[in-house]
Amino acid sequence: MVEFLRRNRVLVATVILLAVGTILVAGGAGQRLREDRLGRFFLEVLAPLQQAVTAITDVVQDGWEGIAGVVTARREVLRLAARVRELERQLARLPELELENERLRALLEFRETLTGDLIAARVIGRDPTALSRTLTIDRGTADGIVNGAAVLAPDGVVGAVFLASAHAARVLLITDHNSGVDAVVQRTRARAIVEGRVDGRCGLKFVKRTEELLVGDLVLTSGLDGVFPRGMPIGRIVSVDKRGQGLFQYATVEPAVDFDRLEEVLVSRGRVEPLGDAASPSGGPARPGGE
Amino acid sequence: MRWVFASAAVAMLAVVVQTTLLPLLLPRGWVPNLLLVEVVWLGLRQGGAGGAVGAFLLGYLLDTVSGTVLGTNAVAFSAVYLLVYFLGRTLWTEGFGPTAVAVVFLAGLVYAPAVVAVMGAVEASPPIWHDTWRYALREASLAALVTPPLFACFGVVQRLLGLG
Repeated sequence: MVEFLRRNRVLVATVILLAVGTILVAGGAGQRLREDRLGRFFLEVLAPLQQAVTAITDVVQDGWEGIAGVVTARREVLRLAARVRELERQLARLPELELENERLRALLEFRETLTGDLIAARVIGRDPTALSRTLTIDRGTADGIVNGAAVLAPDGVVGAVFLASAHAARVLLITDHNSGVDAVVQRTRARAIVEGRVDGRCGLKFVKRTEELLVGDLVLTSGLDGVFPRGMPIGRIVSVDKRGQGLFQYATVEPAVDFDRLEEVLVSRGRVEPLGDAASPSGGPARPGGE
Repeated sequence: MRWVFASAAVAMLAVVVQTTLLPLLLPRGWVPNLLLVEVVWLGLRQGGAGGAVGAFLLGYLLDTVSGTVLGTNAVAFSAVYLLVYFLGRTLWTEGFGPTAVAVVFLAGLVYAPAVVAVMGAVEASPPIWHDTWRYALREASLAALVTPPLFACFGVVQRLLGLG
């Protein structure tokens, strides 16, 4: 027996590790929120490195734009003095600053449409795998963020925090296949559940066949899941499928938020509600990206 | 002991690059899985039960920074390691030539279905089976593409630390 174990130690070790992995998977199945300490440690160790690399890439990006500006202004630079060259470099950074200013202004305007405690956060990392869709943000439990906190952007719902360390948190996007959001169709008020899909879109399910769904219909949060405020845009219906034999029909929803270009978000710290809920025709906040 | 620290440092660096730099440079879904290549490296160069533990921990690390259920990538990487270990005993894979690239490609073809199988077993809703082979081919091809430069980097680290 000992000789067998000695000769096949790699096989034995791998089988044991596969068993440990299976236990881990079985234990974590069906749980949207994680409580693993090792994961929290990795997140805390990785967050500063991710912040550093993000900062470096920002500098490189700024530098690249600076070089582009210098190249286009080369003739002028040759005629003028070093002061002009310095001014050109600063000028090249302006579009980036203006864009950032615009984004932050939109975020601030959006913030003013909601009541409750919200904090702005920056996206510092994205999901390394193709099948799941998550983000890492630069705020954590030290900033009052807890597991399950809603993450919002001016264009609509982003997702919910599923793992928070002291100075960073991971966000499960609504397009992840583990995600589910209680929703209503704005035009008909039909109730539904929005689930994430592998192709980066969302699916609208559990809508009665008797309800009328049209391409272009806006889908909003119902607020009944206790996570997201009522009336936040989730996306628009791009196709409707009634081919099944069941009681329900299915629709594909294009998310309102472009997750690949998302740089800043708002994270809830407690209950958040839309301002002037009753007055708004959609039952939600009046925002730049909404209807 | 030195190879443990070296592997851990390389893994951390790979995760940071994979989650910050590469998503900026490459389209969504086309970021190569650098940790998969490191697992193959462990299987071919390190071997042994220690390598198996290393592969498992690399998978666990990937699980903690991705949205998959904890343990999914740990199981998949362990399966990949076992395959690579047995392949490494029968194939000549010195250097980072075509054989190593082929082994990484094969590992990618095993890794992706393994992840999908674990996800399919524990998650009720994901309709992902029809995308499995397309996903597997893409993962395998991307990992194979970055294998020569990554194996070269691993080799340099190995030489610098006097590990082989």
